[in-house]
Amino acid sequence: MRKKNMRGTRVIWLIGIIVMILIVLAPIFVMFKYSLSDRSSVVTGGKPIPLWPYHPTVEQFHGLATMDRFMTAALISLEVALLSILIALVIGTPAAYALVRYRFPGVMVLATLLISVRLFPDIVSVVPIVEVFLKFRLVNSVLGVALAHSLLSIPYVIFIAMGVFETIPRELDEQAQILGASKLYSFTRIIVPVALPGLAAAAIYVFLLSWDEFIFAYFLLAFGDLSTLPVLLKKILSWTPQHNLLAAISVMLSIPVIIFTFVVQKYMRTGATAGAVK
Amino acid sequence: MATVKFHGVSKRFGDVVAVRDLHLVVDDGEFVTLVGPSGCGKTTTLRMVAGLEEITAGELYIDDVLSNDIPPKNRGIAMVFQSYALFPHMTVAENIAFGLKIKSYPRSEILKRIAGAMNLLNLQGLDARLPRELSGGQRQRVALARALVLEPHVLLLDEPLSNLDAKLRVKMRTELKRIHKKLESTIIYVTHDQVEAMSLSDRVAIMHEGGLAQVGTPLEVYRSPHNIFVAGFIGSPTMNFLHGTIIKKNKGIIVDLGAFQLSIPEHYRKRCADYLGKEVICGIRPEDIYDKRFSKTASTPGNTIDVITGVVEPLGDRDIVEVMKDTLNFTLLCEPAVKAKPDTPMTVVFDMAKAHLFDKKTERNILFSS
Repeated sequence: MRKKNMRGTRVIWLIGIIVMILIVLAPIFVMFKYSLSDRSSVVTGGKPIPLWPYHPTVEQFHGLATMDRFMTAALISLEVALLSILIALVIGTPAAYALVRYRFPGVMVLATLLISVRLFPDIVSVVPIVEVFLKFRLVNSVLGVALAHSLLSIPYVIFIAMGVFETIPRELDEQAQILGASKLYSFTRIIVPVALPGLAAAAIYVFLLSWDEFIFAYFLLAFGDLSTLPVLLKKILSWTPQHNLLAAISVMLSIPVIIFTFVVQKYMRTGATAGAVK
Repeated sequence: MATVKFHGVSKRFGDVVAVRDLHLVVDDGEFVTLVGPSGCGKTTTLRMVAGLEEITAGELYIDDVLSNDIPPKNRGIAMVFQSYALFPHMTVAENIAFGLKIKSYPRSEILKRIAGAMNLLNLQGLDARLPRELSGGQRQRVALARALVLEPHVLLLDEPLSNLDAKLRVKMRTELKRIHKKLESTIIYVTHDQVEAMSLSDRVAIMHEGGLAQVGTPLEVYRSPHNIFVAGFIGSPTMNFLHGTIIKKNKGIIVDLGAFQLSIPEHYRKRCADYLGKEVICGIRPEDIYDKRFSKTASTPGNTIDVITGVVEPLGDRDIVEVMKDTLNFTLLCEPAVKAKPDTPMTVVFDMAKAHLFDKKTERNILFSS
């Protein structure tokens, strides 16, 4: 009797989980479906939209590849993302190392202040930032957007990197010091190489953040001719295009996110310091 | 080669005193071990020599140079950490070469020294391995090689053997002794293992609560402990401590333990005049109490006691036997020939010539307290 009950509970749980997964995956499925749809599967003239397109096609992706505006925007998105990674890591990594290794008074206050940038809604902080960037002629430039994105991601970089550095035994620094290495030498030759998998995770995080960031990019670029992919998507949206084209752009935006998320997960599990101690 | 002199060295972490007014001279080429229970300040002392810990008060001289403020790399020292601290992303050869490269030695010299160190430590053929591909013993030897190639004046070893299994530890102990003999370098070694300390060192410095409890050769600290702490810390199984009072009896002086009385050893007689009627602690090592049938020493009358055996722990070569006399418990080491059985009567002889008397208040050996 009891056994039967347990089985019943289990089935209910399973159904619940499946339903939840379906809810989460449904929009993603619709996006993929539309991106592969031919025109007749999207514009059905009142008939219900089919679960799977009548004539699946990659025509939309083909169109994107030959669409200059899209390719330019993709390139700019990539440039912005890579530049953001560079800035965020160059600033964030040494900062994280200092926060972990040098226990000076007020460390926690400083660490908290670092995340304060993200305590406000983006739409609130975007106004003063655009204001300042205008003064320094950083509006409507790749560097400007990259700076804004690194501003958003540095706190995350610092916290990820702090976590990584905390796992690196202090003895490695001390041993390097005894063997004659300067602080900078042991940081660049010992600590950073050992922390590399974790720092790669931080870099990917910056990439993801920058790649699909919209608000800052929009405000910094909207009045010029540069567009990142999310900004382009918004611009295209404004002239009510076909659903399948939008879906294709969305897929292109999502693919790197999906791939990198899996990569990050893998890195997170790697033992960065295996063999260092004991 | 160098000497290391501690002149009233102290270390405080906030309100906590880690090392208190340490006076110690380590001679050129000497192997000195700092030994003591965890938290006694031994590792802090070593780290002060390395320059990893600032000295709060006092002076530290390495090679007669005041070294308090000299950075680690200029002290002519090398250190092996308990955790080995190998650089995980570098091969064995790169790890060993690290210090030499920074000091920009010529390539040929680096290669020569790596080869030399790897030969000395039996690491041949492991050049290209990463630390994670090595066994614990190999990692330990790589860490040692990395320290030795710098030809340090003083080699600092912080519990280098404690992460190895028992068998390997004994092997590496012999190895370390061999290396010290060959290189004749000054070595300061930290361990909590008194056996390791005794078997390796020229001199043992026993630390207790941040201070030096006693410094001496292994035999000195074993045979003439200056206080109860040293007496109890050195030697396994631990020395027996029996509480009693010194009294005059007939013409001699004895210590009255309640359950029985023991005559006071010859060399203590003079000092005991001041202690008549005072409480003392009599310390005697388990191997200095014998089963009467097997006793080789002539038994002084009065030092033969009838006891009942308790727990018997056979070690193979010897048995640890717990015995009782009324309310007093103590242990002795017996040869297997004694065939000690639990809960049987036994007659034991105290070799009082090897016993010690400690002042109950100061816990110091009466012989050495002034």
